Amino acid sequence: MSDVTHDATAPHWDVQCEQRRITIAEFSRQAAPRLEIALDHGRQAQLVLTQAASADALAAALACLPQVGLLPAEGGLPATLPVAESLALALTWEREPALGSSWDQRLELAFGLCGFTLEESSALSRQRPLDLPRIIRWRLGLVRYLVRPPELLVLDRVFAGLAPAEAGPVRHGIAVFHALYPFRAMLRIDLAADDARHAIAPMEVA
Amino acid sequence: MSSAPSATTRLTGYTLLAWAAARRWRSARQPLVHHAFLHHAHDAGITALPVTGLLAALLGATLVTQLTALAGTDSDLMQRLVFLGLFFELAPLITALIVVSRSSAAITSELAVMRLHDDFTALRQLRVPLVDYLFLPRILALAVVLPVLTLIFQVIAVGSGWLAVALLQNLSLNEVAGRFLDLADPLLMLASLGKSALTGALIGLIACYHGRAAVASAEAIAKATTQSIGNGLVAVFVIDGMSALLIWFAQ
Repeated sequence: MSDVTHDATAPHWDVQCEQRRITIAEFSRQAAPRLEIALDHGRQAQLVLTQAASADALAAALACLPQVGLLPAEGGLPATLPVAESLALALTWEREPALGSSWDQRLELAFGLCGFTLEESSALSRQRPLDLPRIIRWRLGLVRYLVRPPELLVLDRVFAGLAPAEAGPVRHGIAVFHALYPFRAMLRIDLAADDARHAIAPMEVA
Repeated sequence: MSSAPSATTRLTGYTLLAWAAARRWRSARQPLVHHAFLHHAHDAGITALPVTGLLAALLGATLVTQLTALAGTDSDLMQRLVFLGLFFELAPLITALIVVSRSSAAITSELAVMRLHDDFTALRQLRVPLVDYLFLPRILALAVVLPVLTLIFQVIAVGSGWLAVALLQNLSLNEVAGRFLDLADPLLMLASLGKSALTGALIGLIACYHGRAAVASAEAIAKATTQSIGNGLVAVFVIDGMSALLIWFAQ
């Protein structure tokens, strides 16, 4: 991990994607860009913010870019729709049918990599994320990105409110994604308070 | 506590939503939207069959028996009252009321709960347009289901009426049915189904609007559901009145 930066107040963000580089800058200032992330280089960056509103604004700005996949702490899937329906929407809505007939196999593999057995994934498919614990919801959100990885995966405060002992599955998921897609970029957005508890550690690859 | 939107705001909202849904009608061909349409058609239509059938049988037998007692069996007036009153007027109206009380409340509360849990934002982040996936299938489902339910209501109501008359008056069923079919007007039959389709679409539109517009709070869900049912009922009677006037002037 690299590029740990802190900000005092920055509620507005200017996020651009040009020539395979995503640039994140404070909207009001004319200073040099805050962070530049080159796609396809497998870079892992972190941005530590002091305000939740600032993080919300940044996540919303990044989510507008088609190259970005946003993975928040709650997984990002609609809470009241069954998991199977949400994943079908996430993976097949107005997409090229490039997944073809193998997408069931890739989905099964993705569930396995996230630590779900076949029986667990069948049972989870019929449930709503609303009824599931937060870590499981996050892992289900990761399943989607393991099948269709974005060019930049943004982890939005995934460690917020987690005790260090509870963060194991999240770290494992991040390591799995990086191991599967070593050339896909990743950005972690954390709040300063959570960052102190989940100090940057070397990525562990299973 | 938030106040209810004004009538102008609501009418504007209904119009804008109708326009947005009409522009996106081609999305109905997408497999996921088609699947959602079938799901909502099942919820609004198939599950309403038992209550529709029961009400139709009871109403048909009661009404036709009463009319026969008033006007006699050998009376064109009675047959026309059965056709215009029961077949063309009451069947679409009562079916619409069944759908408003069941489906309108269900759609509004479902969408309001989705808003409460911020599912609209999640769907936008999945790059799924809300109109395509949430509103269009529901509106189309009610527009298709209501005429079908109306037709079933008409058949069962008239059939049970014939049966009641045949049993009470000791007449043959063929005799009772024959006089009715001689006076039935196919164009009015089609008009009743067209009226039902329009009513169904409007009920779906109103329910989707109030579910979408509900403030993200538990209290707002009940309020939105109440408004949806109330406005749906008004819409049903407005269309009913307008279609009656239209038939009157056409004749």
